Amino acid sequence: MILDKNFVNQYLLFTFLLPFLATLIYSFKDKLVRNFEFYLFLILLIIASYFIIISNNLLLIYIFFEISTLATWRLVLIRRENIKAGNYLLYFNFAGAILMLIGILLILTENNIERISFEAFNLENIYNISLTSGILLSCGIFTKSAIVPFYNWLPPVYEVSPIPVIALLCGIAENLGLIIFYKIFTSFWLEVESSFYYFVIILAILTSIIAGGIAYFEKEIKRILAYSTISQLSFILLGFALKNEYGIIGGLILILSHALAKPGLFYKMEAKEDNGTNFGLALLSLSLMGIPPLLGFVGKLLIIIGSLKINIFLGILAIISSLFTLLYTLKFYPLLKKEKGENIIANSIVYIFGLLLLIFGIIFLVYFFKIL
Amino acid sequence: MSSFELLIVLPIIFGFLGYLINFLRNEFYFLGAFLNFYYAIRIFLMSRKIEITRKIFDVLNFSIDKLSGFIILFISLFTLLILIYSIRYLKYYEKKKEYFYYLLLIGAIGCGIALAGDILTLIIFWGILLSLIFGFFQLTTKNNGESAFIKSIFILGLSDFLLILGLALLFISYGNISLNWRLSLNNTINILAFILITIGCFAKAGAIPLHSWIPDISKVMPASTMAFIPASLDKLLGIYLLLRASYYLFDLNTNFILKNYLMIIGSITILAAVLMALIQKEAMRLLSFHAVSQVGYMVLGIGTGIPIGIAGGLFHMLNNVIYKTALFLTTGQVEFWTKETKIEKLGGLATNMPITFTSFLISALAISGIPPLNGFFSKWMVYQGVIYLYKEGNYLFPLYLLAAMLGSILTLASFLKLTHSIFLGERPKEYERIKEVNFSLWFPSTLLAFLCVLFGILAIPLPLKGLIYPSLPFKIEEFGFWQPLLAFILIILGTIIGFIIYLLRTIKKVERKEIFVGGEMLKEEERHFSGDQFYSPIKEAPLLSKGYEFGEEGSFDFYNYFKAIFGVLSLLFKKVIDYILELIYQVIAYLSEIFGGLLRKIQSGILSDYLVVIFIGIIIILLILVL
Repeated sequence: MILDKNFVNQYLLFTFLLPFLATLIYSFKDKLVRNFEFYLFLILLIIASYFIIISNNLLLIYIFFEISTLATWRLVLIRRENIKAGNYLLYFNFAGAILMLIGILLILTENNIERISFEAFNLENIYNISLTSGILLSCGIFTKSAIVPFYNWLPPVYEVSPIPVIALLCGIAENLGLIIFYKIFTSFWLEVESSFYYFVIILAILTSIIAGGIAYFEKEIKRILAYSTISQLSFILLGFALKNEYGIIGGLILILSHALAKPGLFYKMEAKEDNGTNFGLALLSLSLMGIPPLLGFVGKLLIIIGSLKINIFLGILAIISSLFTLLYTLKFYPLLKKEKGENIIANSIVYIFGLLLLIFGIIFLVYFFKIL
Repeated sequence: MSSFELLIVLPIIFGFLGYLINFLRNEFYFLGAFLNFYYAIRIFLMSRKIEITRKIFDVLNFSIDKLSGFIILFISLFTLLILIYSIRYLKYYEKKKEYFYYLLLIGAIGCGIALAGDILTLIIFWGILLSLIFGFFQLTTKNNGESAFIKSIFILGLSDFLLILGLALLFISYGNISLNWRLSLNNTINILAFILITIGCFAKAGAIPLHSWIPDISKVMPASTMAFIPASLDKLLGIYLLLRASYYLFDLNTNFILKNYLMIIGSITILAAVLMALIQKEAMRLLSFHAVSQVGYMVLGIGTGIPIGIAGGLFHMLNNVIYKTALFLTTGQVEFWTKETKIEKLGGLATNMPITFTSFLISALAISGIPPLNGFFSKWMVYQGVIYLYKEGNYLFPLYLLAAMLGSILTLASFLKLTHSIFLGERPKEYERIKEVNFSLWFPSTLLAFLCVLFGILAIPLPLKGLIYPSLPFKIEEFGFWQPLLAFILIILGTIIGFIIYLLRTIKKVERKEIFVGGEMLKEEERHFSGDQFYSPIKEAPLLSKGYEFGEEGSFDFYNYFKAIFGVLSLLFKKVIDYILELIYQVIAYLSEIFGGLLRKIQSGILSDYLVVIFIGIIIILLILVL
């Protein structure tokens, strides 16, 4: 039931709704982003991501993937400053997307499609994917979700964007790559070369550890959180690439956990200082570390168990990545506690997201370990 | 609702009510802790007769046997005592309502850990406890306490992750098993899992090399926190889990090397921590080093694998939480009036605070292993277990025995220093008007001191036959040579005779004379002789001096090594990998810029240029066709 396609789609739609609503409500109080252009691209981004979730056609996925790139590009440059960082995002994502398109066409030729039509791109018509086309296709995914070696565009973008836009980036836009990976490579009727999965597993665990290390090195909050995002997203990708039940479910849970925790941490920078926000901040940080009974723990535990099923060494590497998470979380926690903004809506966002992590964590714990 | 759920849920509910309602706050908190204690007694009595398992939500498996019943009883007792103490001690503390709520929650979740019946439940409760300790430490850290807070959470979190890894290894090889399988330690997965679980226990209890958070937080936490978390709760839980892992979940007797690994860590912990404690100049820090040192005896006893040694280790854990908590509380009582924990500024408070002094003295004698108090008895059982190793053919036993005995002697030495410098000697002028603290402050420590005496004199009938022996899975052989009651009567007789001799003599008043140094009289305030210089010659001893130098700089601190390793790694990632990737993309951008510039130069708008390009194109096409 849990890996039923309809259920997963609804779950992902719900996941993206939360950061979207938070940003929407927040933007009413923030004069800097309250303009027509911001709302236009916000709506465009959410529509594109919803279509990516529900569509079952490679061509449609590709088109909306590009649209989401455009939307994020305009959102990052909403204040018309630091054009360079925004363009960095655009070039990287388009380069990745072009490689992805080549990969899609290669897949089509490999599967002996006679006449190219819209239906030819449907996922049901595809029955095997070779190593080359898989890697080309996943180049787009890697650029979007910032996996080594395509993550360099992300930290400068985080440095210059306004807070609500960063929340959209880490809550919605960067998860799109992971969702495409989930849709194509974890469906069980597709024949993919197993060496492709090993390739992705190695890249993902490397990214997770490297980005965690860089996050521990950095000194500014925004940069620490940027590298932390890279580390978390690659951990989710690792879960999907394991291709067993534990890893896939763990990855899906971590998407929700990360889409709540990271935007929450960014909104803490704009929030006022009081008991509620401090409590929320503690919950968000603990969920990022992966400590029970919060949601981050459930996903991490499942992914660790899944990687141990493949190889003990891989499990130990996953634990090392978690240790880096602990280190940089303890590093930014005191810094973030001193940050003081004045937006009251941000207060409630931090508090509600923290509580949601706690509630979902308890629900998922009860639900999963009853099943598995 | 059975008493299992009520034990955990009731303190949480009453704590929440106390948090919300102002005018009955302390009553609600007290009621929550008291109900927790009441149900703990019920569960304890239930566990004597029968083993019960219970499932909640199909996820949480609770099981109760004699060992967990005994642990739960003491966890809830200490929660109650420290709550009574804190209500007065933290009266003027601004965040006290959160503090008490956290206290109740931590007590309840600690009971949950002891109740856990399978792997997953253990992981969940263990992690919840970590997140609660995160909040609890965050409340009480003062201005400069951030580094100590981060250090403690990091070490606890690190050990938690490793513990989760160990339990996950078991999970994938055997499924969600209950905690009494007696797996044999002869394949790689089991050995790895056992080592990872013991690392979790060591960090919790505070054995070397994961001890360094305990001395660090002693600077920034109030005495009640120190008495609750490092002194009582963490010892109870850490040693409980170590015993549970060694003789219930695994069978340690199947692996000779792992037994020695535990014993070596125990011996090193005893000696190194005591040597560090000798030279400390702050009461809380000194006590926290002893809190580390005593863990060594428990780990050593459990590592022996001899029934009498294991019983000794468990009994020592029980005794340690009693007297160590009493020591922290009494030091807190002194601090309550004097606002001072540096021992050079204290002195002569015995006449002002007689009740505090009595309980402190009894606990100090107990920790030093003076017969007939309880500390002596459990240490003696551990020694016996170590000596029995000879029969098993383990010829390392003299080393362990030497470490344990030397540790005991040095403990006595350092407590002589502490007792002298706080309660005896000359009293500074500003402390002349200090009175005894009131009932709710001295009651917990006095009760604990009374327990020290009781468990020492009636060791065999009360704690051993009632608590320790039933909770172990072996038959304990009888041992002889030591009858505490007879020894106690003899000691009492000796003191009475001594007192009579003291009365027969005429008591002369001590003469006070001016001290004449260097050609002038010393002033009143310069005469104060403090105890912090007691063992300063040890610092200059040939071998130890270097060790102390390293120890004070933190060279034996595992956390520093870890930080350095991860710091170097992160530097490498940032300065090498990140830099190289950035460079590659810059080169690509540069090349594309040059290429674009060339293309732009071709588009000059002059007809002849275009003709040249067309001509070159035709030649290339022709060449391709020909070749």
